[in-house]
Amino acid sequence: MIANVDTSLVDWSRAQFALTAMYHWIFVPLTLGLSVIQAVMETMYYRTGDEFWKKTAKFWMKIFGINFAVGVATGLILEFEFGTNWSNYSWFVGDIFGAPLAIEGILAFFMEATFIAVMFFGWDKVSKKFHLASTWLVSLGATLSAWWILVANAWMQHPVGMQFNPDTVRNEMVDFMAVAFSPDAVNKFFHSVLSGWVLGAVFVVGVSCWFLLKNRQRRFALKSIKIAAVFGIISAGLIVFTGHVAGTIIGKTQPMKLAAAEGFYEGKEGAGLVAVGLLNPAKQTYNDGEDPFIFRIEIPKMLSFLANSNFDSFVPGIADIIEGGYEQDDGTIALPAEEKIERGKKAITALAHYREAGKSGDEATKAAAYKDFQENVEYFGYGYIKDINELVPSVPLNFYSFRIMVVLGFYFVLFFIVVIYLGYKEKLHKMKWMHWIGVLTIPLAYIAGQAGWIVAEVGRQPWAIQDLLPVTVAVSKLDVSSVKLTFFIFAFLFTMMLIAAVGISIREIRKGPDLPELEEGNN
Amino acid sequence: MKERFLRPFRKVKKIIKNVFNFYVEGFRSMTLGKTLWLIILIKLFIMFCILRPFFFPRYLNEEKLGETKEEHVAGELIDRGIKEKDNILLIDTNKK
Repeated sequence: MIANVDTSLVDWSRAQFALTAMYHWIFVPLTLGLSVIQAVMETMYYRTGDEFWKKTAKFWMKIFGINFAVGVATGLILEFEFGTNWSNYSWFVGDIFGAPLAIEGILAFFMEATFIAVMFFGWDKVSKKFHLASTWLVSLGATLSAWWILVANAWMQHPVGMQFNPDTVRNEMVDFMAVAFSPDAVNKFFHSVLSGWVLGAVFVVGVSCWFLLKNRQRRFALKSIKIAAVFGIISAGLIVFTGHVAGTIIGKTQPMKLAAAEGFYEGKEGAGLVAVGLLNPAKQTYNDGEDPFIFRIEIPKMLSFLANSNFDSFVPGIADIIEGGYEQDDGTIALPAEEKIERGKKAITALAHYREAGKSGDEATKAAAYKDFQENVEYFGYGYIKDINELVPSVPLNFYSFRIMVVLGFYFVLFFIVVIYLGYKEKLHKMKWMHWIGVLTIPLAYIAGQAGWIVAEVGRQPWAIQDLLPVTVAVSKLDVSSVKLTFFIFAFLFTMMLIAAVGISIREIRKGPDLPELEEGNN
Repeated sequence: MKERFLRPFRKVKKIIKNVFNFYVEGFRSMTLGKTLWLIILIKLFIMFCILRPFFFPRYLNEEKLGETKEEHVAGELIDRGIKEKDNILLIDTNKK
């Protein structure tokens, strides 16, 4: 029997998941960022006893609360989708995915839920010290939630610490530490959380700039900007570093993703990074002879540095990865994709023989099939690849998303430097143009985060789990019409939620903090 | 003696009462929070009472599938990967 999966089913299932994840990532990063900023402000209140800081912290907590309330549990929809739309995947990942998500649910979620109540209800009811500790623990809880989710995601990018059991058809965790603390997981955690912190900082600076534009709450706005900008420059600086580490990790574990993000087809030593470029739409396949770019401006040797922290190192291009034959980081020679496909087919066939032999009680065949399977399981997913071009993810989507993320990342560094400088020179409150830049920078922080996730997830295609399970096999055989229907239901519901969150936030921002409007110069 | 025995229970009871009152007073004094809770409850109702049962049934339901989950997924993994000719090729290889 040859089972065919309608490609439109895969596309709609992916679109539905992407829609849910993208909406989810609108709410999560602001929660991460604001949770730290409000905790710093409350620490100022604890240390100085100045009611100004208490009211300032309370204002940002209100915005945090709106975002948390509207955003909370949107992640559960993703889990529904795993079970229904991606059932093969859900079973295949086994306890690798279950364990981190369960820990996330039990530890971090309850931690957040408990201390959030103290944070909102506990003013004047618990001691200042206990309240401050609760506010920091809310932040820690939100961050720990992110840790476990990102561990699960990192495992999809680079599966480690597990063994596939052909009897249960599941991956079983054999090394928890390898899963929880793989370099991919650790760096992904810091990179993603830092992006949330940058967004939180940009948001606070932007909203405070709005108050300056309206000539309201100057002291509140300038103090908020000062804290957020310092927090922002530290986060944005660190994110440049984690971005470089991510490039190095991806260069080793997902070279195709890096090559696609660069539109890099022919590998070479001392490879340049495209700073500005326009892809050639005529380029359809890796070996069609078309030039990949209409024009490009490169930073010499920078791609080699990004991938290997060495300006002269070799970086494989898309054609090299497909054709193999280059020396990999561990000294082995990369296999051509054709050979990986053959070995993947052997692994799948061995699995079939293993299970058939198990049913008929033929132990000798079962043992031989098991041996075959273990020898080829590394390339299991390649056995489902029908056309070698399927192995190349969307180059334009990766290339442009990567550039948007990186350019905005450096823009945020510059933005915070300028804000801190103007604040230090005490010129910020006069500069209307800077206030407008502050306000207009808010959406850019959201765009940067979304672009980053596009690179991470689209760059992994065609895999749901790198090298092991393509999306065409991970997907459940559902009616395309029902997936389309749920896509539009979600699009409607999430948009309503977003409108509610934005509407309530704008109303509360307009009201402002519970502080007297000070006279100009009285700051 | 009895008093000594009951003292810890009274203490626990007091703590539970204080925590309960803390939440009750907190919820009562909410202003914006009431709107937010309404949003949360509507959202959870839609998610768990409409979306989950009607649009997201558990796909790997053994009763509906008529086989175990691992059998079903194994079948999916094998069927989607093997063309008949590939299967024959490997059987031939094994025979050699």
